[in-house]
Amino acid sequence: MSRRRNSSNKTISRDPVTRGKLVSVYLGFLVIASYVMFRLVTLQIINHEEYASNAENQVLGTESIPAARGTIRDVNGKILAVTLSNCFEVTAHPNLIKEDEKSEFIDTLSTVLRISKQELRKRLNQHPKFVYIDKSLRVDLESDSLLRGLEKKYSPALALRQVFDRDYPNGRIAAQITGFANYEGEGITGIEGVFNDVLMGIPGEEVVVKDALGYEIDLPDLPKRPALPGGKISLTIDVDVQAIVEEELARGVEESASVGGMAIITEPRTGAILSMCSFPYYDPKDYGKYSTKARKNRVVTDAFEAGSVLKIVPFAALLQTKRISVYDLVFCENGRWKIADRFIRDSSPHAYLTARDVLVFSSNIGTAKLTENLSNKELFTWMRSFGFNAETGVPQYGEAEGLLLNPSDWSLVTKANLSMGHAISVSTLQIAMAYGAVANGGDLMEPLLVKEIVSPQGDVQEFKPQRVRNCMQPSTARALRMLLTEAVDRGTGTRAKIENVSVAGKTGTAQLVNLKKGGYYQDRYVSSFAGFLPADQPELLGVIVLEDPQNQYYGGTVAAPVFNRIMKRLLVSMSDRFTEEEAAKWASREKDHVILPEFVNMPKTLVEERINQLGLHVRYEEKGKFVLAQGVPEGSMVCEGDTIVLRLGESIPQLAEVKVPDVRQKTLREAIRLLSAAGVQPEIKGEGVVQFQHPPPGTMIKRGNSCTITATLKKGRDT
Amino acid sequence: MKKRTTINENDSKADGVLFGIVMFLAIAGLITVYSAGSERSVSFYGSPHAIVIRQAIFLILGLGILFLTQKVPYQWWRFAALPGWILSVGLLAVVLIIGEVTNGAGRWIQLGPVKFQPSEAAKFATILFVAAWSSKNQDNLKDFRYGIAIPLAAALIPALMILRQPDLSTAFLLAMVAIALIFLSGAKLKHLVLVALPVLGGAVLAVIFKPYRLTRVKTILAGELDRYGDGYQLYQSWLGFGRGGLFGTGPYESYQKLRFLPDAHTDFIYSVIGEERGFIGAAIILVLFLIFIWRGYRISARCTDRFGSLLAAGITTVIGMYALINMTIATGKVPTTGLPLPFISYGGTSLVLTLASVGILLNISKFTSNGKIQSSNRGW
Repeated sequence: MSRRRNSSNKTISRDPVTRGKLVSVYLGFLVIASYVMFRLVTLQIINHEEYASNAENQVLGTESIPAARGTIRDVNGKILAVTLSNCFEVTAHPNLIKEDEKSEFIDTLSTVLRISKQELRKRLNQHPKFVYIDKSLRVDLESDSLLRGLEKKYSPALALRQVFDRDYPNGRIAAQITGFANYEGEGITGIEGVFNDVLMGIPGEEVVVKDALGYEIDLPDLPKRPALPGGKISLTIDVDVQAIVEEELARGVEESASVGGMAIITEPRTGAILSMCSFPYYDPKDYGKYSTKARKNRVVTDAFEAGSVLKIVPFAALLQTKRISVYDLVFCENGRWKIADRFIRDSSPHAYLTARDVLVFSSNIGTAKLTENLSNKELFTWMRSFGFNAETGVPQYGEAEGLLLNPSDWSLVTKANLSMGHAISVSTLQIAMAYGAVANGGDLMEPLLVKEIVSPQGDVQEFKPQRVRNCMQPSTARALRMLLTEAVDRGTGTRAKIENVSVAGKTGTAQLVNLKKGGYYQDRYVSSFAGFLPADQPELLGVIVLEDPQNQYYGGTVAAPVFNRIMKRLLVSMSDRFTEEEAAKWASREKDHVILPEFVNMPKTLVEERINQLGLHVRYEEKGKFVLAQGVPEGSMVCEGDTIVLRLGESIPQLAEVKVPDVRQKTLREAIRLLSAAGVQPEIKGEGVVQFQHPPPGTMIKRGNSCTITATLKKGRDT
Repeated sequence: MKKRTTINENDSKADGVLFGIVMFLAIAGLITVYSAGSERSVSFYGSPHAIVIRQAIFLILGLGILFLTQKVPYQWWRFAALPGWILSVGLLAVVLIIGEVTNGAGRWIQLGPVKFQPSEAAKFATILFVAAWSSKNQDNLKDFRYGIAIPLAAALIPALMILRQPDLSTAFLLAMVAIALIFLSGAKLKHLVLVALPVLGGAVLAVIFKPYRLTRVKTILAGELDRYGDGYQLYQSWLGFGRGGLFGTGPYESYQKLRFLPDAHTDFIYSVIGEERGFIGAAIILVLFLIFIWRGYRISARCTDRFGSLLAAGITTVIGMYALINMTIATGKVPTTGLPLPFISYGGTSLVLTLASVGILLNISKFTSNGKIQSSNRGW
């Protein structure tokens, strides 16, 4: 309105700006201001909650605080794996280093980091914008402050971040068991992997404020939950034992020019594993440089056809079911026997062997023939009952179960093959556990590798020995122990013998399976020895396997000496584990098992004297001056302290039946004398030394019946 | 209707309310710049204080100049009008040439340690020129050439040059201020409408020929904000206001300044005020600017001299328009390039020149009639 008035006024042009126009423009401002006010109300009051949470969501985050990984220790508390926190990740942005400072930068950094200038220059040239100088640099206090000073000086061109570093202070020793945790602190193999959850701890969490570029903003008083360091694990492994075993296995591999080897030492009573390793070894400091074969704990992961060491299983079955006596004679076909369309061979030919010597001298033919007394199903069940073809549950990755066909799928020769440890693949660990059962009186134990776990919260879980099952009677185990002792004393395993300690053990020499063509290599072998000591109250058990030895290949020649050397060293280093009394006992162990003589028809007084000499006890049935019968037959192996039951009578009866005496290995003249004295008519074939008699010794026959004895001029196997 | 003929400096004192508002806004600006610019300050200068120290130095410098300009009789500026305008256009040309050479969008001229923004100078030079022209040719303003063409050209030449930088917002604002000033000076409304249409048309063309402007227009028309594209900055600004709520998060507690909100310490500082000081703080700033404009127009209305009146109105309009457009952009729905919030945003050129122009305004306020002569001026 005023504008119109102004326009009609001549003097208007001299006027200042009219208030009317100013009001109109001001109204325009008020309109804009109202809109701004409306928007402020909308944004800040009506939609406040929504925008506030959206704004907070894009700024606030939670960051995990890494937890220090737990320590792994051996049975004596020695450290196998530990996490160090005095480590830094050193990174640089080479493009941010000022040109004129560059040479000074390299000089000082190379001094503090102890790397050559040349190497440092090389690392800085890897990328123009960002390079790792050291992913985990371990620092002492002095270089810590030096390094922090450098960071301050050259930031942001140089950046430090505290990191955890996993250290394996024992290097390759027990590395295959302990396993490996990667750069991210995640356990990937061995105990590190299996118990990763326990070792990892519980990462903490903190609320962080991050700007739009993802950089953390340092604000005080943000909520924070500290990390809980990882749990601790103690193993049953003894680093000192492990060191000896690794050294001796490596030596054995070298001496026999083997491709590889495996060894395990256990405590048979508990199933605790003191040491296990497979050659080649690896060093966790250079994890990436080694093959999978070296990194694996092949004692657990590799299954192979072990051969004769498995003969204990059919023997256990045969002895426990009383299908055979150890004195039964077996014709061993002079080293070559056709079964179905296959030949079974013995490495040294035998004619007749007692069942005992079949095991002692490891005759394949003898074992196969004896095993004919077992059904397929029985042999299968016994194999399974000894823990073969099933995982032991040891806390290691990739455990091999081993292969064993169901009896329904067996061919005509499978049983024979299986009796001598073929047609089944087993792991070294399974062998150790099976022998453990023989050693401890018949209990198959679970392998004990972890002794104790302390959880991040501090809960202690102790692991006690666990029995899987009783797989044979104590007497069967005892009989096997005696046979295995003889195998070391005078059989295939003599090179395992240790002075003053009775060693029980069995050798194995198996042809290597040809994975490429199927079947077996004719000239490549797996040689093994499984044994324990002291033989009748075993404390230590060991299984040694050498793969594809190039020189000698018999288990008794190649593996037994390794067992011998390891055990000798362990007896010295572990002497504190045994009392003097026990040590003294070992010295007299040789006498402990005796073959029971015949007491029948002898006067009681003489018998008593003899039994006392043998350290046996006697219980009499009835009364009288003469022994009429004995509870344990002649020729049985008994132990010191066993009780023998004898039936007495007032006079020796004139028996209608007589017992055929043992005349094997006697000269013909002597044999005829013995047979005649016993009331048996000798029938003679050949001349020289008696090799075979029929009926066998101990058979009751009618007085006056004949016994055929076969003699040869050549003196048979040496005894 | 009566003409005021005497000019007496002692008639009234400088407008204390206006100066108080300016000081309040400048101090509030300094505090907010400290918070909003701290992140950027660290990454650019290595210290969270660097930006606020620079701003404080410029504030002291600006207040010094304000002290001088409020002493200088505003009539003297009449003589600086034409040379000032030519100089500012010349500087804009320099910026354009530098921009061509360095093949980039340039808005600054580096003068030793400080960067000078010619577009800031251009807007005051244009106002000064239009005020001087309109008062000198007051009798011929009904003539299209004198009333519209020359003053509009004086605004459009720098505006187009600023558009080339490219700085659409400043160019548009300069044109708007010029049109407002031409309107206030008493040009024919018919003429004004006649030229306003092509200007609007020009703006439409400017939008069409630059695709990025077109997408902005599309975004507006769609009514949806692309939170991760063109609308990112605006959405972040909303988040700041929204998070502030009624009372704000408290000083230095802004999250949005953590590089989420680009230009938090300059063009979008109002959002940081909204976040840290809440609705109450943001509303106070808005109201203070309205009071500032009222006081400025009051000076214009009470000024007995036409040049002084036009100059006061021009200075007030340009500052007021910057303030309200800035706040509209920060709270509004149109994603666009920003403008500084006068007295508050970080930026030396803008602060110093704005304070200098406030000094001129204060000087003009000394020559007002106190509303005695024109009864109809009561209330201003």
